[in-house]
Parts: sequence; structure tokens; C-alpha cells
Amino acid sequence: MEHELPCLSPGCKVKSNARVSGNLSFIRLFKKEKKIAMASMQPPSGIKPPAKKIKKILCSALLFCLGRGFQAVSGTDPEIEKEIEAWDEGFSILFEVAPEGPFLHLRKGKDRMLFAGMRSAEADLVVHFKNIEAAFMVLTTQMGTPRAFAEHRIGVRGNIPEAMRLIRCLNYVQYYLFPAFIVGRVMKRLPPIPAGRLLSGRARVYLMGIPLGL
Amino acid sequence: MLPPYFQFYNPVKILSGKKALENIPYELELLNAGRPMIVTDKGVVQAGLIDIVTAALGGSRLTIGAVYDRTPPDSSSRVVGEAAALFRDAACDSLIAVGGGSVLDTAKGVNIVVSEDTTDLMKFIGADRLTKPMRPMIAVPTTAGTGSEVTLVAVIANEEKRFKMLFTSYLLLPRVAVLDPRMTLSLPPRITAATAMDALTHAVEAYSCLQKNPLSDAYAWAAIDLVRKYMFTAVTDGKNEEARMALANAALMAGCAFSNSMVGLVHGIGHAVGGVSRVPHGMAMAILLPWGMEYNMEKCAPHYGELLLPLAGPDEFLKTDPEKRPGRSVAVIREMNSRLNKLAGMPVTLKDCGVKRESLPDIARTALGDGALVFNPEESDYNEILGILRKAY
Repeated sequence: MEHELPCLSPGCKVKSNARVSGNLSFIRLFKKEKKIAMASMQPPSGIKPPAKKIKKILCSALLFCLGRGFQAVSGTDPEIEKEIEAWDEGFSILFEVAPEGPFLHLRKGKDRMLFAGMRSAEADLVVHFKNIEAAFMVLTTQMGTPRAFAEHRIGVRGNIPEAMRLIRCLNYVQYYLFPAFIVGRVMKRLPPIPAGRLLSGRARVYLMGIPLGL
Repeated sequence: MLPPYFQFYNPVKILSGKKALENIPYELELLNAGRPMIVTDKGVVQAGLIDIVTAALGGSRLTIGAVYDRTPPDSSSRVVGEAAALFRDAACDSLIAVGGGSVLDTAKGVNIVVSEDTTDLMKFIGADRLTKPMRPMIAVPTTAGTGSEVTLVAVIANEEKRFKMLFTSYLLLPRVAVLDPRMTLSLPPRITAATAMDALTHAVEAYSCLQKNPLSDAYAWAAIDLVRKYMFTAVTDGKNEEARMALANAALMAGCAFSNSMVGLVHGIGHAVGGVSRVPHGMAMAILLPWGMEYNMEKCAPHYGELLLPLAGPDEFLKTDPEKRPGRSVAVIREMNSRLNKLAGMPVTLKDCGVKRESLPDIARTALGDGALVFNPEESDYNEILGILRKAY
């Protein structure tokens, strides 16, 4: 949007209907035009980019499924159990999407990960999506976690070995959440989960984990 | 082929060649600084390199505020705190790091402490945690391998909690990197060989890891070409300034490459070998590189095939069948290792480096926690890493 500013130079034709007569009139005119100019120099209201509300809602839903799914399989899959064993009870993980969420908060319980809500919180390990598109691509498995890290779409705050542990867990959780033909495209290779365990795990995730939080 | 997306950033001004050190006062003036603290270590001081730097700064308006020379081989939070206190006491306004990787990491750590005005480095662990503009830092590498002079990483040990703190931020990049032939002339053949192989590993991994891109490829390619042409000359004739400068530039270019496209499995395991068994990083890299390449062969064969050209030269490249080029690249690196073993006593197995067989499981477990594994194109678990270590043993 262009804003036309009146010229304040005495030699110029100013955009005004005021009659100029003598020095006093000129000073009045100058003050009046200065006011107009000051008003015109206020920054324009600007263009607000789209809020991407639908993507935010979808990401919230997917983070919710990820959190509940992680909780459901963390107590049953021996590989995930082995990984999270190293974390002390109370160890917390936050997934956050810049700039204002959504968020997913997880906390280590006695022997499994617990879904601790969808609000921002202090955490030992923070997985930071730099924008909603990055979160959307990763959560909808259009992009694998390693590639998202490699492309600097995700950042981590916290201890790197713990982040590596989390990435290994996420590979397993994602395989429980999505079929092989979807996650196989973005994972370096599928986690070696036996077919029977995979089937029972998926049943647990979709029938009890996500809907009931068990 | 272009990747779907990539980032590349390297704002470091590079001064390379004869009497490059003499330009430091001018560069500091441009950066509005005039009272630097020199960060270095005892070895560098004993080799007379600080005297060379001090003399090179002569005839300028600059005042050296302080010299911190107690940097150990592995930087730690205690050392960083001590050096930062000296920086403040001497009212310094900038940093000149003269040394190898540990010295450069220490200077970066000092910069975090004084620029963020903190005493707790822990708050800044991880990626992109720094927010304040850093003090001007000039890096003068005295080895030709780490590439720290152009990388955004600092690794500093936390002595209390006994782990290595990793900091990555574009703000950590030095403002100027100075490559002066006088700085590396005194490096002994074995260290020359080890650091050159470190640079080669940076370049090979940058060329084949997940975030490879045309810009980092160009740097990696040029680095490998320089290593092939000059490494053996620098090892056998340490006073050859051309060879020394070629390796210094190769290390810098490899640093630019991997600072953007990252390193992978070889570094992941190599860091663990260094951490658990105290093997010098360059030696671990030289030993592990061919084994890591073989492990990644299924995913990286086309890239390794291309690399035969800078690794072995055009004659060798043309006379090798295209399908045999990836394997030949690995063989060329093994031949380099054998030759360096004869010329400089470089070890060719982990056993030669003093690694104990019983520590291999511990190394494999430690490697699993290394962030470099994320960027490796091939997945790896504990047993597979242990398998690589056994082969390299």
C-alpha cells in the first residue's frame, strides 16, 4: 500500500486548500501540514500472514496421538523400555512448535513414559520445530526425523545422547502408529519389531492408548 | 542432484597465505576491537608460535590484553571459566585463538561466557541457544585438520557431571580465520598425517551424509583434491610451505563442508573411541573411515564412486570401471593409511592405538549417543557399531 506524503518545502505546492497570506499564515499552514505528514508517517497496519489454524489443529491432534501412543507402547515394547530405562523418573520431554505451539509434554513415570499434557512446560529435553510446516511434515511422516534434523528444521535443547535415545524411541513409536508403506519412505530402515508384537502393539495404541490414555 | 532443501552458511572471512598474521590488527580494527586476549596452550607457546603471532601484531595500535595458555588437550568448563575471568580482569574486547581444536573450542566457550554474561554454560547446551552477539574472535589454527576455524560447534567437557557439552550456533563462528604457513611448519609428521586424515574424513562424510548439497560438495571435493596432492609431501617434507598451506586450506574447506552438511557414522564412532580410549581423533578417523564407508556402501555407492576422482586422480578414475569406483575409493584410502604407516608410523588398527578389546562394547554404547549418527545415511544399532569396531580392531 502506498502512502502519499505532502511536501513541506516552502517552495512546493502543498496539498491543502488553505490560503497562504503573509508569514503568519505560512507558519500556520506549515504546522497543519506537518501534522498531516506526521499522521501519514505512522506505520501502516501491515499484512498479517495467514494463521495456518487448520495445520495447527492437525499438528495438535498428531502430537496428541504421538504422546498417547508413546505412553501406550513404552510399557510394552522391550526396545523402548530398554531405551527409557536410562532416564530417571520425572525426566521430561517437551515437543514445541514455534512460535506459540502446539506443545506436547511427556514425563518418565516409574517404568514408562507418561503423557503429561499439551501445554508448554520446563523440560530436560526440548524438541523444537522451527515452524508449523516443519512440524506438519514430520508428524504426517512426509519427512523423517533424521532428515528434519539434517535440514535444520528441528533443533534440540538438552543433552545430545538423550536426544539420540528419544529419536530411537520415536522410530519405534512411529512404526506402531503408521503402516510400513508410510513410515518406510522416510525412515532409514524399519525398526525390527516382530509381526505379532507389532500387531498387538497397534491394537493397544489405537484401541486403548490414544482414545483412553491407557 | 539438488537436495529438496538445504541450508549453507559461512560468513567467516578467510586470510590465507604469506604474512597473513600481520593483517590481524587491521581486521580487529574493522571489528571495533583493539584489546584482544590470546587463547592458546603450552605446546603452542613452547613451539614459539605465540612469539611469531606477537611479532606479527607489532607496529599496530593494538594491545594484547592477556594471554591464556593453560588450555588442556580436552577443553573443560573449569578452563573456560578461568580464561573468561582473565578476559574480564584484563578488560579485553576480543579473542585471538591460536592452537588446535581444543584451543578454538575454549575460545568459543569463553566467548559464550563473556558475551552472554553468564557463569553457567549448561544453559546454552544444544543448538541455537545463544542470543547475544559474540565478541569478535579470530581463529589461527596451528594444526590442519579440525576445521574449527570455520565451524559453528564447540565441545567442552563438564568436569562435574562428566559429559561433553555440545554447543552449536551460527554466533559461534569466528569472524576471521587466519591460515599462515608459519603456524603449521613445526608439526611433526605423525600429527600432520593424523590431522590430514581428519580433514579427509570430514570431506568424505560431508560429501555423503544426509544434508549434502552442491555448495558443501564443492568445498569437500576441493579439500579431498588438496589432501591427495599434498598430504604425503607435507608428511615427508614438513618445511614445504606450499604443502603446509594446501593442507591448512584443505582442512578449512572440509570444515566449511561439514559445518553445513554434517558428519556421520565415522565421526560418531570416532568420538566414542577418543572419549573411551583416549585415541587421538585424527588417528581414529583414519582407521575408521574405510570401514565406515564400507558400512554405508549400499546407500552411498554413487557418491563414493564420484569421489574416486579427487581421491586418486583422473588417470586412476578413468581406468576404473564405473561400478568398481566406489570400492576402489575405499581401497585408495586404505592405501593412504598403509603409506602413512610406513612414512610416519600412523597406526592402521585400533589395537595399534592401544584400544583394549574389552572396551569395544563400551565404545559402541557411547557411540550410540553421538549426534553425528543422525546425519548418517544408513541406520546403525549397537551390534552393528560393535561389528565395525571389531573389524577396525
